[in-house]
Amino acid sequence: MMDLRDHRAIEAQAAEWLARRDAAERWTDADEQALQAWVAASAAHRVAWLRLGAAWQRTERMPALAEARDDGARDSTAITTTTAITSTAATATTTAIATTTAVPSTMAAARRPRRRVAIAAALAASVAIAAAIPWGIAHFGVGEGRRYATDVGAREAVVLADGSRVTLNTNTRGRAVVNEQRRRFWLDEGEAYFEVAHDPKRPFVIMAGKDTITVLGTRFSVRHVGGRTVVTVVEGRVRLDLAQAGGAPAVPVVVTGNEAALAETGSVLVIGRTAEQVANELSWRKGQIAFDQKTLTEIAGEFNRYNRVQLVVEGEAADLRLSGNFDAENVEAFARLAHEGLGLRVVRDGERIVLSDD
Amino acid sequence: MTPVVPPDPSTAPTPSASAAIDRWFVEDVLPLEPALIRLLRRHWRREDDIPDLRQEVYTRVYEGAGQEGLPGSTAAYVFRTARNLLIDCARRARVVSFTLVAELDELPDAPRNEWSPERVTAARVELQLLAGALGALPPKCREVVRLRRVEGLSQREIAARLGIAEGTVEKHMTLGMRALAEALAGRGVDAAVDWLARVDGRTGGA
Repeated sequence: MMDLRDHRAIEAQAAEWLARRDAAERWTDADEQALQAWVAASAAHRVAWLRLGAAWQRTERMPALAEARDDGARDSTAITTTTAITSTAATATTTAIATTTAVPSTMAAARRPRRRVAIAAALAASVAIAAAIPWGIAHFGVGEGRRYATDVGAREAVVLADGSRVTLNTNTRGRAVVNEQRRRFWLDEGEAYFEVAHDPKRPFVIMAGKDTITVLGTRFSVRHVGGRTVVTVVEGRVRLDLAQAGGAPAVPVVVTGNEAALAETGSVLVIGRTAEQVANELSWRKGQIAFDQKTLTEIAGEFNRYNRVQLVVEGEAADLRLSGNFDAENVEAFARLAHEGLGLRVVRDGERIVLSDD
Repeated sequence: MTPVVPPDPSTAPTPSASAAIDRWFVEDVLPLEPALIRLLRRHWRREDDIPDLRQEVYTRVYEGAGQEGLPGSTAAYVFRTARNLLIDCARRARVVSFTLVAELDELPDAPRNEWSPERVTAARVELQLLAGALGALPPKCREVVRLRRVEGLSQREIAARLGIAEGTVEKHMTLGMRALAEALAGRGVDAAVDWLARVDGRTGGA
């Protein structure tokens, strides 16, 4: 991009220096001098060095991880959660992980829209704390499995007991059962992105309404809204078994990377997608919605999935086609730009924003 | 206010001055990284550019502090630097949506509350963060870092234990150090603090 300094190469060099210096048995005075000269050569070198060094410093507390596992042995709740988190790191992984039900969701985050974006490390942390403290939100109810739900405008990621990650988009409800025999996720309503841990012995099965999606290990999203299922695959292959009218045997369809399948009452359409289109369709994971030549009506529908304030389009404006990239929660900004950029009339009416061209 | 460092752009900071700036950078600037990343993500579409933008902000912030002395408010200073960089980049990019420039022009001069530096104080949160960061590494790399940090073996001992070359151990360490920095500084602290605040709010204190 642009003419920024080549920071990535600099960071790689800084990491090499740090790793070399960590091998104290081979580090010489001459090395130290060369390192000092490299760091002093530019501010870009220095900040990369300081940043990596500071992070590495923090990992000095890692020995406590081994102790934490030992302490946890006295408390069955604690051991499950701690092991689930460090299982991939620990050589002596217990089978207890697989037998636990899916971890509790972190739905409390829904109250704080801006701070909701979570990633693996934070997730692991939140999951453990959630399990250690009576949480109250995640619960068992009617239907099988641990329940997860997000509010309108919310986005939430959860790690299942097998290490698979599920990111729930706005207004989504789902349930998970993960045990030694099977991995199953019911997407009752809404949209979710799946990063499925590879396990040929236990296929990961997603039930979207009556449609079934079967995977071994891959990354893809499933959207199930209003009886229609859309599967967009980023990587790998998934098998989609469509529900047939009258309970006839399901028809399997294989969807591979950069393809999307649209299924509705027994019919399916598989469409090739460019990498960019796939990225657009998954932009919600970053709190964004992206459109490429979509009508204003379609765009309004998309915003309305994320916000209590609903966009309404009236008149011929409905057929205007737009491309763009927006903060999903900032419907006001979109309305303002529609006014400034397209000359549309914008009327705020309580919980509604009406766009029209008269 | 008396500047900590005499403003003299023509000379590089003296060693003691650069030590003071280093300290400020690590203690005051780096904890802002989660907020900085969020700002960059919100206003720059290409995810691939984010690490470069982040490091460019750090570089400018560090150079600025060397020339003008440490700022009164670190958060406001980092925020302004990031904002100006984004505007520069948006104006220089050949293709850029009008929405991006419009949004950037609307950014305030000073950051919102979320830019107050928060630091992890609870050991349990830090530990879970470290566990999560370690768990997210690729398997070989994770094992090497685990042996080094959790078990405390030297790189040479790790090479012997795993039957691989010392150079290979070093390569895994290089990769691991970058990934850990990304996981710890980039996102974790902020999310963990956020989480902690909610948990403590419910249980009446840590």
